Amino acid sequence: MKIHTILSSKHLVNQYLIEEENEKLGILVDCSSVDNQLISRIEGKMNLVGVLITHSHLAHVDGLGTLFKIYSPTVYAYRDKIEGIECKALRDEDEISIGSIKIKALHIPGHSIDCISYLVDNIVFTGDTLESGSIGMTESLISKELMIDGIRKKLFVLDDNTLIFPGHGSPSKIRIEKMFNQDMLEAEATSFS
Amino acid sequence: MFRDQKCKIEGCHTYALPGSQYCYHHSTEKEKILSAFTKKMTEEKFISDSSIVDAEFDSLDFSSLVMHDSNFAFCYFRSCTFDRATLSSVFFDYSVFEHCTFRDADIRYTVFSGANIMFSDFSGSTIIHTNFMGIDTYKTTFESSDLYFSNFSLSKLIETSFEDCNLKRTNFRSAIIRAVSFKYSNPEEAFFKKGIIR
Repeated sequence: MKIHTILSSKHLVNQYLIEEENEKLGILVDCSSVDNQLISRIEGKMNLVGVLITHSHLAHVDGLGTLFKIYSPTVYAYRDKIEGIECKALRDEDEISIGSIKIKALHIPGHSIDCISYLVDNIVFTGDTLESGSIGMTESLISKELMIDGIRKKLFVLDDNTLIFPGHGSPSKIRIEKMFNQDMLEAEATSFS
Repeated sequence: MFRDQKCKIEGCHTYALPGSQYCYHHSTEKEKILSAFTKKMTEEKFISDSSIVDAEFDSLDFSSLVMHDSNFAFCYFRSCTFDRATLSSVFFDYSVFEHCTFRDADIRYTVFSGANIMFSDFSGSTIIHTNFMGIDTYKTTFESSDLYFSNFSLSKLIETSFEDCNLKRTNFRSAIIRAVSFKYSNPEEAFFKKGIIR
């Protein structure tokens, strides 16, 4: 399995293309924009069969319309329709298989109500929920608490060596975020004070 | 990406070596394995989808090496040169770099978090979307490098130079900065305090 990181220059969002070389199939994580870089990664190399949406903010789904003019993948998300495109709705701890790739959905609301992190082997695609050094923006303190609780209970329980590929910024590992994520450290300090 | 297979030894969560059931630490043929790794890196100049943890690399020439989707966490690099290397999605977390050079390198989506970097040189490099969280640096230079969207938060930077760098969206939140120069760079476009970073 290969992971190709494709930066959407339009929204500065990391899109990830999961490539299963033996089966020649591909899964896209978020679809911010469709450009030559993405198409050249797909064309002639794999059959794009799935799109995993981490949440439905425009920056992460803006390219779906264009993508569907070229390909016909199945879209997986928390919602059943995004940008007019039918999706297979996932709930917390749902497990799906695309080819030989097994994917587990972890619903962690907070940044938005429909935030899903996807666990694929030793990699978790966290969208805007958990980034290197920070957590996603929220609209209220309740949402923030909900998200922090979700990160603690669903992401920080993963093996320390699990790789994190976020929607923005650099990759990380669970161990690194436990040690250096300031938002999580501050939340912990606040809860003890 | 490197295999999601952990070491067979009970309680060891380290990733196993390529083609093995054990991690480097629990392997019985450490010298042979290290030699195979260094041969690939110094002669073939290409390594991908590999993992070796807690290994030591001394005085090796990794210049022009192409390296991606690999794990070199908790390794020790002494007097190694990565000049003109291309690194993408490589994990060097908690490693030690002493007297190493990364001049004119192309480093993207790479992780140095928790590393100790001393007497090293990253000058003239493209180092974007790279994770330096919690690193300790001493007498190290990043001069004339593009550090777009790289993250130095919670790091301890002593006698480190960021002269003539692109610091757009570079994150220095809560970093301890002593005797650090940002001359000819754009620190006004970097983040030094807690705030919105996008």
